[in-house]
This record gives sequence, structure tokens and C-alpha cells, in this order.
Amino acid sequence: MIALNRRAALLGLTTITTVASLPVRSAAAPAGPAALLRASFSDARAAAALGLAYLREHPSGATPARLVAELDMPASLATPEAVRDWLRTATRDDFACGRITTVAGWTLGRREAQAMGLVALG
Amino acid sequence: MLVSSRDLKDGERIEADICVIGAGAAGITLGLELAESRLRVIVLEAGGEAFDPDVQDSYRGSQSGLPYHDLDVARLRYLGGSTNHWGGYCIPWLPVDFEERPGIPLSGWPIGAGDVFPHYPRAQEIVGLGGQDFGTGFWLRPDEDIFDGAVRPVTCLRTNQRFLAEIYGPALRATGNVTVLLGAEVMELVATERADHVDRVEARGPSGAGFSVAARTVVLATGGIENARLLLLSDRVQRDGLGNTHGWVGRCFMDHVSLEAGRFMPSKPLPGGVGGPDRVGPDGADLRPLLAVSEQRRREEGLARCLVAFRPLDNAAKASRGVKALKHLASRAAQGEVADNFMHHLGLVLRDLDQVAELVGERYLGVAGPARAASLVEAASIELFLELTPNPASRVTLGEERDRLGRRRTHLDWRIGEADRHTVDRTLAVLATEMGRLGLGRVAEAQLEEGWQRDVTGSFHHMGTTRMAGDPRWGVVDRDCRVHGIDNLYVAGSSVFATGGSGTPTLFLTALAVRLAAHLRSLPA
Repeated sequence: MIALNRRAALLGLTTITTVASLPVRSAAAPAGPAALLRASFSDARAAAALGLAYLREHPSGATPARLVAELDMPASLATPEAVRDWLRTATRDDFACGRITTVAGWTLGRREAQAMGLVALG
Repeated sequence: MLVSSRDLKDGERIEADICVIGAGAAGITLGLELAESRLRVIVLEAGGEAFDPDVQDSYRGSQSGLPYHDLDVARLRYLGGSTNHWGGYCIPWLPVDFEERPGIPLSGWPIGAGDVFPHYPRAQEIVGLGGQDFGTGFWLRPDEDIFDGAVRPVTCLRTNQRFLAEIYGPALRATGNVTVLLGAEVMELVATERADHVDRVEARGPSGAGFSVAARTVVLATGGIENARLLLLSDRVQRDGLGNTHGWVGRCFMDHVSLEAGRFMPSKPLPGGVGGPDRVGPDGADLRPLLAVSEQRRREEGLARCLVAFRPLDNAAKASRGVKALKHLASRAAQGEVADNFMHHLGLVLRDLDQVAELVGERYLGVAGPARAASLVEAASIELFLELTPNPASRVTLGEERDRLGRRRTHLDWRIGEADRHTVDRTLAVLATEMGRLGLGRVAEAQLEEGWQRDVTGSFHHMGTTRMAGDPRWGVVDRDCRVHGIDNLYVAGSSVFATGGSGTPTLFLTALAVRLAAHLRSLPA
């Protein structure tokens, strides 16, 4: 069943599902994958809450280095907007290929879950 | 003609070419289709032109197994039958529904889509949707139709022409060769000595006078529960009930059930409002845009039908099992009655106290509960409408109690097997993957707990109790809807359904009745 507090989970989901439509808040481009990812979410705290749930439910290999490696984010991505677009495409690809995972009962693309896990660790 | 059986004399015998028992959707359709023919048709309707609690009382019955609607609430016993409380929703069936599907025991019909679909245009006319397009093109623009995979949009239309007695009563009254005999309670179908022919139908009028109808052909059209009851009551020659040589009469009782099974968080407004609330479509049709697993994926995985709708969470609270149960208890209490299955309903209230408290709080205290707060982020509850697999243990039998005319009442033992969980689980999994792939949102799948079957809600779609099968060892009626082994007895209506189907039952059973009427007209005189 859904273990995460319902409202917290819904807020976390909101940050995923609105990732493509809301403006990114940070004007200056942050450095590093975790910082870029954090800036790409409309609500980084909500993303972190869901990321924490992912880390709890999938503790194996939950280190920043491992997550960065598995995300395989292109090094050329330099802005939160670019990261956001990449994550959106990657997520859809993950669903298409069956690379999915569950977090707090929700079915997510593996890389979007890992991205939030990285935000939580960051 | 519409006439009362009140003036019939005790022992009177009526002769006809065709005797139809029941004037609901199937019986009215047969009457309409056989009108203006050379056939003398008698339609026996137990009720009158309006609801009468004394007549309705014969529908009361006992229950075991899973909780179900009270049997006298789930159907209506007067002219028009249960169309008098029909919601009017129509979805055509699909070719896959007729196929033998791996993973769905007893699936497969002895007829195919090609046998029934040609009768849909006429059936649509009868239910007030003549010429109506059931494709998605009229409400989902081609550029919006991004559903190119395992989930497809489904068009569900709602007719305003659903009270068939009001609409077709005048036509039946004006017809010369069809006589609808009101207040005619059928007691028994009396078979010949070898139980291979119905000799006569014995009935009683409102005054208690017994009369009989001797017809060349008899059609049972009294609904998905009563058809089985009448066959079981007709045990004078065949002790287990007429047409029950292989024990299938009453078995495989099915309904379409709804259940809440997860949450959906949309990324954006869904194309065409699919999955959302009812609305008026572009051409003025009353439209319910739904989603379902594609025919191809259903074939591949052996899945039953499972329609998907999304319900805003605050509405979901109002429709929760606990809130519904509380309303049911309150409504029965207001009538000075204790509801059947009282403890079950109370249990539902207790198990769902947060939703109940939320609704009560909102309504009486003006307090917005967590579900209302959640709706601010536009999450939705996922509501599934599930086709149940045929289950021989789910059955209609005769109870010990008798009605006012001395007929044994119905006993329903409703059961849902664990196999149906597979369709729910796979539908949610496919939905979750597809909504993610299409960038439409995310799904949280509810894990069905043990005993989940007790939390589903039936739709008054009573099906399967005289199931169609090519081989008499596996069903009651043949491909022509004729009872196996009896040369002049037919069954019309949803009781002949071998499986519950992708669509709704009324439009489909109307098409089957149109087909049956064509068959009856073709019989040699």
C-alpha cells in the first residue's frame, strides 16, 4: 500500500508531473548533476521527499556516485532547463522500455526516481 | 394491445404463435420486432403499467456469499422491467468478447461478432442512439489521439431514451398482433413428458384466476435472475428444473463491478477529457469518455474487460464504500427497516471512517478534510469497471421461503474468484506504464487486500445464469438462444451471456433480441 503520507506523496508527484510546464526558479546555472537536478524540479523539497522514499524502499546502491552513474546524464547538459527536458524524455523512454520502479506505491520511471533520490541525498 | 389479465376466467386457455414472458428491454424489443407480422404474439408481464409494491415483493430473495444489492432493489417488476431504473449508458461489444481467451475459464461463445453486430443499428434505434457513432473521432481529434499502444480510449454514450415502456407503450398498444397481458404472473412452464417441448405456460391474473398460454414458441425474457428462477420453478417433469440437464441453470451469475483501485496524478489535461466526468460531446451526445486496455493486449494476456475512469478525490470520498454503506443504512433506517447485510454495511463504515468522517465533517461542520486538500493538486482516484469471469459457484437457486403466490423465492450465492484479481492488477500495471510513456501522468496501484471482492459494487447487470454454449454440456441455450434439448423454448436477455463483455449489457441484449426476433420470424409456421 501507499506508505508515504498521502499529501506528501501527491506533492512529490506534482513536482514530477509538472516538471515540463513550470518555469525553473534558479537564474544562475548550478554546477554538478545533483544541483542541476534540484534546480530542474519545480519544488525541490517535494522531490526530495519522494526521493527519500525511493532511497528507503530501494536502499541497494543508494549512493550519490552510483545514482549519478546509473542516471547517465549527458555531461553536455549545462542548464536546469536542459536537464528538465532530458529527464522528461528519459522518463518516457524508461516507461516505454519497462524500466519502472515503485515509490510510495506510485509507478515511476527508474531514472526520475533515481534523480529524486539524488536530490534527497544532495 | 395492452390489456389487463384481470378479466381472464379461471382455467382459461389462450393460444398464440409466440408467448414472450417478460416486458423489459428484451421482451419489448421482441414485441416491437414481431409487430405487424402474421404471428399472434402474447407478452406476459407480471406487473402493470406502474410500480406496485405487492408485485415487486416477488423479487425479494435471500443471499449468501458476497454481499450484493437487495434482490428487490436490483430490478423492477412492471412494464419496462429494469429499464425503469436504467442509467442509459451504452458501449458496444468487441470481437474479442466472443473469443475463447486463455486465462478466462468458460470464455468463448458459439457465435461471433458477425452474428450480432449486424443487428446493432436496429438495437441502437430502439435504445435511442440510432446512427450514433461509437468511434472516438467525434470527441477526440486526430492530433489529440496519442493512444497508440496498450491503452485505448472508449466511447460510452448515454441515451435519454431509456425508459422503454414510456417510449414504446403507445406503439405496443396500437399493434394488432401483439397483446401485452399485464398482471400475468407466470407460475410454471409445463413441459411434455420427455421434457423436450413446452406444452403451456401456466399463469395467474391479479384476481387469482389461473390461466394458461399454449404457444408454438415460448421465449423467457424476465431478466438475468428471474429467467433462471422460472426454469428452476418449472420442475414438474424435469426435477432439477427445465433445461437443467447438465446443471447450468442459475450458475455463472455475473455482474460488472466497480472498484476504486489506485490514484492517478495527471501531468496535464487529458486529451479529449478522457477518463474524466460525463459531458456533452461535440455532436450533443451525452458522453462518458473512458479508457481501457486494448483488444490486442487483452488477447495477449487473457484479460477480461476493465474500463478506467478518473474521479476527483473529493468526489471519490463521497463515492467511497464507507460513505455509500452509511447512506444505505440511513436510507433503510429512515424507512423504519434494518438493511439486509447490516453488519457488512456497518463494517464498511467502520473500515472507511476517515472518508466517512471527512464527508460528515464537510457537510455538517464545514471542515475540509484531507481529501479536499489533496484535490487541490488535482490527483484523482482510479475507478475500474470490471468484467467478471464466469464462475459456476456464483449461482441463483431457489430458497425455501415462498412469495405471495407460493413460488419459492430466489436465493443468490454471489462469488467472485481470485482469477479476477489478475485483470485488475494487469490493467493497473498497463495503465501505469502507458500513462508514463505518453507523458500523461503517474499511477499508484492499490494492492488489493484479501477479501477485496467484498468491497466491489455491482451494476445491476445480471448475467450468465442461462449461459450460451454450443455444447449442451457447458451451457443452457444454443447459438440461437434456444434451450438445449427443448424444441420450442428460447431465452432472451442477459442471462444468455457466456461472458460479461466489453460493453454494457442493455444495448447488446437488445441486439440479441433483434436477432432472435429475426430467427423466430423465419421459423416454419
